[in-house]
Amino acid sequence: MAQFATGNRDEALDIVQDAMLALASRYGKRGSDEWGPLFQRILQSRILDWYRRRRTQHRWRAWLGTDDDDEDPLAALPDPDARRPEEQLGNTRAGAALETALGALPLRQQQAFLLRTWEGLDVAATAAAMGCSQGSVKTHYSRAVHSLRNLLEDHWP
Amino acid sequence: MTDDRESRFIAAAKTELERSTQQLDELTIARLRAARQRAINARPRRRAWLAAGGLATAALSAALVAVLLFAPAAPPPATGLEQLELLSENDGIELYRDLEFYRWLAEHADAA
Repeated sequence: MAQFATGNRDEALDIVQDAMLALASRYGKRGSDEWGPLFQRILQSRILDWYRRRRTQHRWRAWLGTDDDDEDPLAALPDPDARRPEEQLGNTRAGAALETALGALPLRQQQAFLLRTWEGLDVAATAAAMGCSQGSVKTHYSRAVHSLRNLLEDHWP
Repeated sequence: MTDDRESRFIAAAKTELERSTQQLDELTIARLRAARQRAINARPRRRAWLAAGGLATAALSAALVAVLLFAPAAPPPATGLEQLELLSENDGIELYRDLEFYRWLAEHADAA
């Protein structure tokens, strides 16, 4: 999940390790049934922190005139109507197309979709993990599914 | 009908995501395992802290009892005249200055 959010394996591993350490050091004494939701809460929070830091760095670089497009996390963000993953990659594999499409989603939509679909969390648990209201989760999730279906309709009509 | 298609889409997406997890490269898996191990090692150990805390409390209690039982009784407070006498006598001041030495001497005199 961190890999989808950051688009960078090393950054993703750092985030996951940080979340693991935070879980073990702060909540290791909690009941094992709480570990999953707590870990997701920490992980999503770390991802959001990373995203905000990168956005701030991007703004500073833009002001200082040292912007580097290759390191811009916003470059991968939302332009679902203008991009078709298979066109961009020249790759017709559904998995690769899904990864690309997920990377093109806004962060909150991506989180809502992955937590609901991949992790199997219900709306309440997803809201807890994302630190937002259940209404927001429903909105993000619905938009994510809509965008992904449009992007991937050739693979999964 | 739309719901069925959406359900199929979500199921297919989930299958692909799980497949991508199973296809993680060895290096990533090793790094994840190492991260997990570091997290486990960083977990606070309650028993160790309890043992250390218990030992520290016991040592502190023993020291307190020893001080209360074996500390010499405090001398009665000096009267105003005695204080004046102490301050006026050079010998008395030097004695207080070298108190540590005299104490050491008393302790080692027998062995000398």
